[in-house]
Amino acid sequence: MSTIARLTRGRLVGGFLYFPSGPAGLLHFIAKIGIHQILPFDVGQNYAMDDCVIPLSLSIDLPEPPFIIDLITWNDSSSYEHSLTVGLFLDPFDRRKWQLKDAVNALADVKGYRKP
Amino acid sequence: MNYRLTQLLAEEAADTAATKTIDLNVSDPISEISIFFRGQNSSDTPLAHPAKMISKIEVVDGADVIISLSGMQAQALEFYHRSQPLGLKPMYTDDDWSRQQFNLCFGRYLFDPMFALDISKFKNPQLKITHNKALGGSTCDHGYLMVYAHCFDEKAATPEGFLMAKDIYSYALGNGTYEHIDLPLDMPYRMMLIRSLKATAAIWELFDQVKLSSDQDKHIIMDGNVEELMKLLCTKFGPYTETIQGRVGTGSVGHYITPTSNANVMAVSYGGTRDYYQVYQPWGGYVEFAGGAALSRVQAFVHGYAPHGALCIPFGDLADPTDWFDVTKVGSLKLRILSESGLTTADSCDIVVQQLRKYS
Repeated sequence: MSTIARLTRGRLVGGFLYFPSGPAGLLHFIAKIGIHQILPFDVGQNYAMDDCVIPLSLSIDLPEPPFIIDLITWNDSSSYEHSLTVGLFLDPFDRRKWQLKDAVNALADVKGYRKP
Repeated sequence: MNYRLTQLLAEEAADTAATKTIDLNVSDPISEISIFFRGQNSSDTPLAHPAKMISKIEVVDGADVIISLSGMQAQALEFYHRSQPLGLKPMYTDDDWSRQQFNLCFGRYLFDPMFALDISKFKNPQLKITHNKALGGSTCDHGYLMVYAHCFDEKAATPEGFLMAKDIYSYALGNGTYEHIDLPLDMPYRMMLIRSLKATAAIWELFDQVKLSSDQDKHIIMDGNVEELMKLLCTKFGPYTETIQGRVGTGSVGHYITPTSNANVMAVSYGGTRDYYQVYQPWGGYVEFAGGAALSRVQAFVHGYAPHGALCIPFGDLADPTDWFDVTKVGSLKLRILSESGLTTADSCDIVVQQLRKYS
């Protein structure tokens, strides 16, 4: 099952995963941006815990759209449903990151200005 | 010698599904990376296309993702990149090897002096390959992985950038619904792939219309029916052709091919047994063969379009970087896709973007 977290431009600085009491390791969680897995960092691994909170310390930039993180879960149990809580801390960027060439291009139409 | 072929990973056994991480510590710029994977079939019943044995290929520098593609996406992108088939031959017969090659192209062509991956510009670049021999071929019981890099050697190269390719968005196709996707605006676009794969379905049976517009529809770059777009692309990129081999008897057996749309398959006997073959519905990368007698080896010539379900949108002259789509000048870029009716959440679509990333 995939839940889409729609964020905004900024930096993911941290978060947490809360596995309530009950899953007994049958509930699994990973997070992806596109096809790239960001949580856990090791590809092919997943979180599968019970009754605990996992703090996340991240430094992942989301500089360009789509500002989407796929939160993927699956349940090995065919008897019970399970749920978990995911928290993501995002430090938003004020504006789209400027580069020197953006300022140069912006001046291109100014009379007398000559692009290098 | 101007160039050399460097072995990043000598062939090693890959029997257990895993992610192989290879540090990229080559001193010279890399023009292309070639990944070879082969799986040995243990039956005559195909499970899936052998390209699925590589589920993910990534080049990362810590949290910086440079390349992020599935094996099928990498092959589809390479076909449109080169405008010619990969020259592979999927084998589905017992004890034969299903060999697949996946090339990551960092330049417009091999040894492009303008664009190549300069390892010295990164801190700790790594190549990560996620493989599982059980996902493709005919129940492979052995697998082997090998990686090469095509490097500049005595010829000095100071590339100003490289072609970066990433899967930026994946979603479940709805039942005749629109999906609006905001696209990145940081680097010029060279091409974009829209990909959806479902056995027995051509790509226009999965998504019907595609619209690309900028600045809230101020400029509509393209807005068309997928089937018509596909026909326009045929003249630019040409068909995808390949040969596959299998073994069938009187009952039909499904096989997997790379082209998914407008595919034509011609099957003949291969080996000592003379037989005739019926070919049924070569759509969506899936075709069934049935023979006229007991088990016999069949070889089929396949001709079609949309490899692995990928539709390509090229942006200008692919050889001229000044002609590519400079998205840094637009305020927003949105892709809208209309799915066909009758689909389920099991049917998905992904978007791959190839961009020019400069070093400064």
